[in-house]
Amino acid sequence: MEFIWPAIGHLFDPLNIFLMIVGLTGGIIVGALPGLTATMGVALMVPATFAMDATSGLIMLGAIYVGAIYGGSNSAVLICTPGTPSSVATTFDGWPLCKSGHADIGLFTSLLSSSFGGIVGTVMLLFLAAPLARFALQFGGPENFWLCIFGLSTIAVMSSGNMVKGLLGGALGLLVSTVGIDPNVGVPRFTFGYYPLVQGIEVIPAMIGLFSFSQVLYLVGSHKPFLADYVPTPGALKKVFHALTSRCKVILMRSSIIGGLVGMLPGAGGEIASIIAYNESKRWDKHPERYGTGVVEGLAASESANNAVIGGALIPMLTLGIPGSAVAAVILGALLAKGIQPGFKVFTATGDLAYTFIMSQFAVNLLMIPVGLFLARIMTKLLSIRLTFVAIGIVVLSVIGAYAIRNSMLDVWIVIVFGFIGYFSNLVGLDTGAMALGIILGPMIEENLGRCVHLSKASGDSVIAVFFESPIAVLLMILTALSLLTPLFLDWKRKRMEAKCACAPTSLKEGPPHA
Amino acid sequence: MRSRTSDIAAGLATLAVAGIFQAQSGDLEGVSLLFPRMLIIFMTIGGVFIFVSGLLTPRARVDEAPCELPPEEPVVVKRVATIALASIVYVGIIPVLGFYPASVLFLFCMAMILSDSSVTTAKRALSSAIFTVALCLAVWLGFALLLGVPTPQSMFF
Repeated sequence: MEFIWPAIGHLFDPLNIFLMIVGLTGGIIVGALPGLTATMGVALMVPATFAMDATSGLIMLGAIYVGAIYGGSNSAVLICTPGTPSSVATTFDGWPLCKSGHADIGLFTSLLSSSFGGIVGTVMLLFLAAPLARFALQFGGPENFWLCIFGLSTIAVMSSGNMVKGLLGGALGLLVSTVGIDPNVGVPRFTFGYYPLVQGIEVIPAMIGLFSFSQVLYLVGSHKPFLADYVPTPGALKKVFHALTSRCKVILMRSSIIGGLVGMLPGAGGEIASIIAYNESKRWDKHPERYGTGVVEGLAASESANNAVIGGALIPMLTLGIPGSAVAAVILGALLAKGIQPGFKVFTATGDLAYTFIMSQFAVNLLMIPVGLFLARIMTKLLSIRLTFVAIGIVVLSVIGAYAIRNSMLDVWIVIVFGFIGYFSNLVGLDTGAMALGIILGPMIEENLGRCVHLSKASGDSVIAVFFESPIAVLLMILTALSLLTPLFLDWKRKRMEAKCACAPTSLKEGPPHA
Repeated sequence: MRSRTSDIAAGLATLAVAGIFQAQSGDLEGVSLLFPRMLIIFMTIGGVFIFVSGLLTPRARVDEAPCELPPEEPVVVKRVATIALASIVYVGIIPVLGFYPASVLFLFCMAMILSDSSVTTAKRALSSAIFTVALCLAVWLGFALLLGVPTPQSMFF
């Protein structure tokens, strides 16, 4: 407690309040632009923090991080384009909400859920840092491999209508992720004789292509005058708040805890957390078939999880000096540049700084509500611009966003190619969400599978034996099996109910899709 | 697209991708081949399954399907082809003309072609020009000036 009260005092410094607002605004804008990531936003601002004292600099970087992760949901809801990979699951229900004329419901749900998730993540950081950091250290190759497979099992829930096509979409994404240098032995693969492909398929341009450019093709082809009909819902914020505090309480809490736990695992970020949280939310829902049609529950799960990741990712960074995400790595760099050595001593030797940073995360997540509301109202104006202008504008933004990642024209071509793949996949029913999941998780799965193979060779056992040696891996295997079997069980249950009562099929689909 | 046709198309596409990757995996061995090989086998089995189930779907059932599925939105193929082709040309000319000149050309032409044809040409040209300038300026201010994001280099400048 000796550090907490002075830390709270620092937050009322007008300069720090200003930096939090500026950081949040900048972060939300960067996050909302496809191609510009939270990592890029934070990295761009690191040099600016050198002119400030360490506390103010860290506060601003933390605010950008929080803003950017939330900002990704704005474009996910409004134009079906995840601004950051963490928002892929947000498109599943956010875009249907927008299409049905309830963009404000979608944006406000994302905002309040993100804020809640961020606060839960920070609580975990404040009170559970030490034990959770020790738990995270137990994650090696087999555990990470099964965590990713658990994330991948979401496909079964996501595409329960046609699971085979969903799985094939996922496999296609995984196969695409193998293009480039092999993560285990460094051999170039599947370059098709085109040398730049050695760099591999970058996740973000592939996402922009699958979700954004394919959406442009669809929208232009639809010949609609506007992106979506939008009439502001009277009392939308109040309705969303009521929905979240009544029927989404458990979802918010469960998803935030998932986010915090996944966030502290190095390499596993918001994209995995939000997808797992969405999956779990759908799995435990009484009417899972509503998911994907524009329900606040889906949005709440995805957005609370990806913002809770922030607190989780900061746990190993502050306590062990191991960043839990790319952004945490950049913040770690900024800390080191200031001569602050992360580790358990950071809470004693530089306790003032560490606790001010942690407490600022609470303040930032609360400040995000008014800042996010203000920006959300501006962003909904996008829906009143003629669709042709929005569509061709998205193409230009996609090009510069993709190019900005590695300064490579290859990434721009990836956008175009994956746009066509996404458009074709939508036509033939191959799930682009599953494909995106495959592209995101592919490198992690392969890298950890390679580690397991090396471990098995070193120990003289089989890979299967390596998997079963770890209790955490076994637990994850059981969860994966449950995740895969649940849709089959629910389908069986639904068919049984339909057989019992001829009028049941329509009643199952009752209930408004929005708040 | 009808269920039968989409199954056949999805099956063929999956098999084609698996085949292309299989053809490229000739020199690979050991751990670098393990994961892709597993995926290729899975995709081949899945692709054959979808393709065959599409072929075996009775036409009578196809006729019943529209009652269960939501009605598909009409797609103007010509507009899709136009924006697709224009985007390819746009990306192709960026390294030649530079990002901003290519973007101006793309935005103005596409705004003119795809905009509401019931509006007079002069009005369309004016709104297209305003939109083009405004977006390019916003991109330059936001990306180049504020964030310092580099744009693709051109052959000439």
